[in-house]
Amino acid sequence: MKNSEMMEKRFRQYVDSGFFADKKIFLFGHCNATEEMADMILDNGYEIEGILDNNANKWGSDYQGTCVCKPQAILSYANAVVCIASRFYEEMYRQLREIGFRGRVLKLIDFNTYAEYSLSEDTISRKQERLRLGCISLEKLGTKYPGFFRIFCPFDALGDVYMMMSYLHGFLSKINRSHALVIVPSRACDEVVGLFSGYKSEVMAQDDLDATVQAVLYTKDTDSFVAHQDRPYVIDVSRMLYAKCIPLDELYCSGIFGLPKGTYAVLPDKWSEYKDLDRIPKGKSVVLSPYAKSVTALSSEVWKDIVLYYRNRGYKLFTNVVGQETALKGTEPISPGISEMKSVVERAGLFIGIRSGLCDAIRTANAKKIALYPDYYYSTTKWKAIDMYRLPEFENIVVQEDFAWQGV
Amino acid sequence: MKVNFHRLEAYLKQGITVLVENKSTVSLTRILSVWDRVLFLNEKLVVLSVLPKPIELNNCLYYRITFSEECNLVSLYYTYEFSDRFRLFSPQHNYGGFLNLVDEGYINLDEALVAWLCG
Repeated sequence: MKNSEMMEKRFRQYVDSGFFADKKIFLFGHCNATEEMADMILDNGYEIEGILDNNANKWGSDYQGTCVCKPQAILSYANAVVCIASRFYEEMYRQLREIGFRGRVLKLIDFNTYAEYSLSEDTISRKQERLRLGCISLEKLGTKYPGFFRIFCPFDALGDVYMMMSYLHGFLSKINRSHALVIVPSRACDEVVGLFSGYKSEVMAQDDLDATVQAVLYTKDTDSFVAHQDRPYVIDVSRMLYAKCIPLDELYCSGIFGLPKGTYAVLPDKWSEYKDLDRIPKGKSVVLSPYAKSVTALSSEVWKDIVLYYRNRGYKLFTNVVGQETALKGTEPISPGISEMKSVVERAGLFIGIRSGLCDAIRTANAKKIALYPDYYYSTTKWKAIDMYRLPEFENIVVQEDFAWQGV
Repeated sequence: MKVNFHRLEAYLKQGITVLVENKSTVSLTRILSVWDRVLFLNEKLVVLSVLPKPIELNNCLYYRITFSEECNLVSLYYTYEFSDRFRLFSPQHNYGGFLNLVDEGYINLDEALVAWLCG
């Protein structure tokens, strides 16, 4: 079951029991998971009073009309309930109690199987069993791919996988290994791996992947490497963002792989051609990418503005959609595979997308490319998303409240 | 795994608890001198090590532990994330680490030691 499905299932259980009937709903911790939770609650017809957050830089901002405020704000409300979608549930629960909140604190999802802030016998026993299964899984990988060095990408994010793959060749040369197996948590991430020649790959379900990574850490496996900047919990590379702004690709190059600053990033070379290029007027089309899993969504008004601007100028517009996503009004849906995306963008001539991992994948496309950044801070740092994710091959634009599309 | 959980819970109750593993490539003296001098935490810092306390400390609590305790705590740490108030300062083996960024000049060691703790 997907995390979003589990979250909705738990929420609906409370709804069906009448729990929310007279409650003021608050969310705690403004992040992508919380936004997903907010969308789900709003779609179920409920209002959200506020989003509590410890980051003072976020106070006063809003998501979907709901204000982000300091945690103490909840004390002014009777019948308040707090919903949390975070691995820091225990810490957040403790904080709420310490500030004097006595209402219910609901954990709607646990996105992280590594963490359980408890030293109870039961918890340790379960985690040891998880570790045991992880060790079996690790051994199976070794048997299936003898002699291969294993690279684990523990987080389902296309951009992270792309950046990792860009520097993997340099890393393997450094450690004198030639055959690498890349293990990822989704088919989409696997498609990104597939853009780069010379690697085998394997897709594992997230929970299994987490357990296997835990085994890698516990056994200090010298034939494996976990390639991420902050997942799982043992990895501390991104903590340096507390002091310095280091762009994400440099975190991968030097922080994760220990390569010298300025190491050449390998470009993807395994592209496919989209089979229906004929439906895209060459040089007179726009590919829009408004959806991204791990990014704050832009207002629909922004996209309406963009669609209207290009339609008035005779462009044909396409919305890149996956799964249940729908095309923006006035555009046609298009669903190329990741390896086909470059051909689509080059045919169209113009790409405008919310800054996401897809933008990394099409960096080398020979077309005008524009990345739109919601105005938010990267994680809990003081750096804006554009500081961390700026792409030199794109025009990078921050979308602020007074944003109006002026055209290219 | 023979961890003294009562003692561990006591450490965690006192403050953010850091085990500086004996294999650390940065000297304990250097680490402690930075943390003791520049402390931005709202609570105490508890440092565990198998080594005797190398310098006098004003802002940190220091506990000397045995090699066996160190080994057991490291095993527990790598079994699961049992607390967000426990950190292990140890050379990285099969994952990246902030010392790579220090080596490449992105950040100096003192800044990195503070960021590691407070970030």
